[in-house]
Amino acid sequence: MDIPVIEIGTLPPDPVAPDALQGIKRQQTNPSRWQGENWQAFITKLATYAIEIRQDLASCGIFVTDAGGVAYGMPHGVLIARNVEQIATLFKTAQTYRIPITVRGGGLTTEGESVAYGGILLDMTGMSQVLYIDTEKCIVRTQAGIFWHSLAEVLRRRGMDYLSAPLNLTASVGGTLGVGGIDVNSARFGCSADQAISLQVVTPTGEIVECSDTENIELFKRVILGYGQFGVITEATLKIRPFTPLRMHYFYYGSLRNTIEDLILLDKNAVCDYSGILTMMDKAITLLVAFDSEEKEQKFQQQWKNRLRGYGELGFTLRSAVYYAFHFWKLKEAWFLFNRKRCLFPELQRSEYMQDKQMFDRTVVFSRAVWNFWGGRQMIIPDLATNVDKFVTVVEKANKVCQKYFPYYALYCVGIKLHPEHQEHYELSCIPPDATELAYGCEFEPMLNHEIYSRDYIQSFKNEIYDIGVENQCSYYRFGGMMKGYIRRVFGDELVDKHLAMKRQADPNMILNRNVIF
Amino acid sequence: MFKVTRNFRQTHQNYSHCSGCSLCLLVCPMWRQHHDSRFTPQGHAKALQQAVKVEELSETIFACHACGACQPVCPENIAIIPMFMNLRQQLAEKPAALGNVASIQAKWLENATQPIEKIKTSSGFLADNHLRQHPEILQQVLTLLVKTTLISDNGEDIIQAMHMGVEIPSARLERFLHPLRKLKQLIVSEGFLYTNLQQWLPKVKIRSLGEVLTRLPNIHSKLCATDLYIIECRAYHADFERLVKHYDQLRKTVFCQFNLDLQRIAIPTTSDNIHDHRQAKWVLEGRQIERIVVESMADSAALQQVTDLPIVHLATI
Ligand SMILES: Cc1cc2nc3c(=O)[nH]c(=O)nc-3n(C[C@H](O)[C@H](O)[C@H](O)COP(=O)(O)OP(=O)(O)OC[C@H]3O[C@@H](n4cnc5c(N)ncnc54)[C@H](O)[C@@H]3O)c2cc1C
Ligand code: SF4
Ligand code: SF4
Repeated sequence: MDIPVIEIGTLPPDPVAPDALQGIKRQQTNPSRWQGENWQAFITKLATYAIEIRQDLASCGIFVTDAGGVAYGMPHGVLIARNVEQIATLFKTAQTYRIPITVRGGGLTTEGESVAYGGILLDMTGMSQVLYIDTEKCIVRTQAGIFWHSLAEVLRRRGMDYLSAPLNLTASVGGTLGVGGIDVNSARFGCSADQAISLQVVTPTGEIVECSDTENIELFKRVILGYGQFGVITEATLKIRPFTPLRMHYFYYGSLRNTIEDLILLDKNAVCDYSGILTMMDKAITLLVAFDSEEKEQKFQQQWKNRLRGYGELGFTLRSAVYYAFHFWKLKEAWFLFNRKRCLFPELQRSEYMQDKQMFDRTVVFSRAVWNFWGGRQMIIPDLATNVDKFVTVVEKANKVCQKYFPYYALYCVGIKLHPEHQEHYELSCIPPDATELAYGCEFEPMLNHEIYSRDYIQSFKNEIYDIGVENQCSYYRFGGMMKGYIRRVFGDELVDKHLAMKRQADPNMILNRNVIF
Repeated sequence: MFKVTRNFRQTHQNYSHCSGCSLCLLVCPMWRQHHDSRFTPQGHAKALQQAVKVEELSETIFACHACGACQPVCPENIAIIPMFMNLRQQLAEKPAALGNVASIQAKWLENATQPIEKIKTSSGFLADNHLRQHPEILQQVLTLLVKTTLISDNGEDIIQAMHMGVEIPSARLERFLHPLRKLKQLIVSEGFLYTNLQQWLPKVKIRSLGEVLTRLPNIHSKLCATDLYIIECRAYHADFERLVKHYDQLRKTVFCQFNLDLQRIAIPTTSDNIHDHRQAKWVLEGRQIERIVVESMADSAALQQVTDLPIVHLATI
């Protein structure tokens, strides 16, 4: 049998039948991997445009992995993004020489989406300037490599704040607009990507295009929540708002189902400005409720507080003490919970971030806690996103998987308001296709506590969580990189092929972020 | 020979624990200046994880000016300044820009012939060279610090040697430390040696000049809401957990602004390049203030480059 050589970017039908006899030569059916062809000529050409690619180990080694710490890959060279023209030239040249380019913001992916397995690593953090702030119209224009926290630092000097961003200080604007972005106010504002008004994008063929809901509409739809497939976001105009500290309330539960039901109740009735669930296993579950204004807080106290089934801190501690007194064989777990509470709670209430019982700088407080208590060189954070109706059942199933694999873990759940006008942005994204008005997401994060787990063990855990997603027609927040295998299973061939066709048209040599989706 | 590293608590980790979280970038003046990951703690830790040779880092390892801002934000508690200092020590060729090794060594020889100082009070004050260049301010500081002796050997050569990665002869270090051992309290106007002093002099209470002066009611009462107060960043970061509370209390009582970012890290006024004023401009950006109050005259010099606002030393307000 003659097997034709496959060109990069083409995907012919699989010539090997499922029942093929042993001994028949098999062939890679994905576009063949790039093996370093044309690299030297490419570098030489770029040098004629005064574009310097760093190829030394110190420059490339910084980017060998992402926050997940499981996927490893070494780029051939690194380019620090400095301006849009430089990026456009890079792409035009890379199309000619067929060189893969991986774009990276904060590198907070966990499935290797921002890891370059060869080719160019484009480090967007080199473009981190805030271009202008209009406090009257409540908009900011910024370069897209900026970390949300650096943007907040600049906005706060003008008394302003962004609408929503990941609770992680080093996520970048561009990386987040491409994947979604969930905050504890997403049930009110939608995902972080929904705050984008317009974007400057460099397409995979090197055109510089401004796009929005009214200009180059198709590109805007594809780039928002597009997992970096259809262009590099170089600048973004975002909605902003006056800064307000948070009036925080915590309620403690022993039942996941009750907590989730209460969260949905609050979100559906737009009772609060911020809401979310953070757990220590399914034993100590915290419902976080917060407000921007005193009026809304008072209304909650009067009309809603009593309807919640959670306890105050003292009530919950007493209840837990009684529970463990009758379940003394679980003392180790009780000890763990006690210690966790002892360390974590003061961190969430450090006096320098609190004033008059209000929390300033929520992202600083939560991001510190995330990195200090859950962070490390390996982070395993599979997740599931569903519509409102399935959420409790899906979380309960996944919770059982967590219990099976790890003694200690945490769950983090939030609602995401959907904007009907952005429905097309949500196609093939973290927003589940069957969700309307509200969607919910939950992250499942084992606490590794310096235990060593094999890759197989970790992957089996993740697969079991992801399989729940397939069974229940969910979506995932992190579905790129090493999760490629799930994309067709969860979205179906028709939708994926539709996007693949668009991708081929936009990126003839499939050079941009080729290890993420297709 | 004494080890030149600034030793931290035992719990400090080395570069191999760097998770690549990038939190150090947010506060690092090298990063603000270059926007290049090689000029960051993360860049160096990751390079060391890849077994990159120190010679290949020679361009970047001298760019850190030990402001210490990265230390309190690193969730892995990596001893970042010692990492830089050790790398500098390993590098055979030291760049001339940071000082002349021969001149420091000559100073050590000269120093060895001087009589050892005797301090009669239980409190001593180490004034840095920037402050010493302003005798009237220094005099005012000494007036406020009652029963405190100005220590003539301020260890500037030791600081310079540490910056350059030059090993310090134990005799020189002993000569510097000997008179300080009898003190109960040692006040420093600049915090480069803060952590080392805590370790070298475990029985002596090390305090920053800013902390001591702001505890004086007649100083405290003269701060006001239209002031921008510039905390000397090295001492602050070296004793972060304690001092963040102190300055937070001060803010809640006098309502002045501080050179603190949203993580409550003190923004340094300078970076490694003295001609680059981005740090100083960033400290001032968007502030509605009438006066700048500094703890350190080095900060005063940096801010003078970018503003016409009055800048006063804390001791003279
Ligand atoms: C500890 C931890 C906590 C987290 N908490 C949250 C949370 O609270 N909420 C939340 O929503 N997420 C959270 N995440 C996930 C992470 O924050 C998001 O994935 C983040 O928004 C990604 O931003 P980034 O800049 O790190 O993007 P990267 O990881 O660098 O990139 C993400 C994807 O976008 C592409 N990309 C990057 N920049 C651009 C650009 N300028 N243009 C086009 N494509 C680009 C990359 O190629 C990659 O495919 C967390 C992750 C970790 C590790
Ligand atoms: S000490 Fe200062 S300059 Fe040096 S790495 Fe840390 S933050 Fe950067
Ligand atoms: S803050 Fe610490 S762990 Fe994080 S990147 Fe910097 S050095 Fe590494």
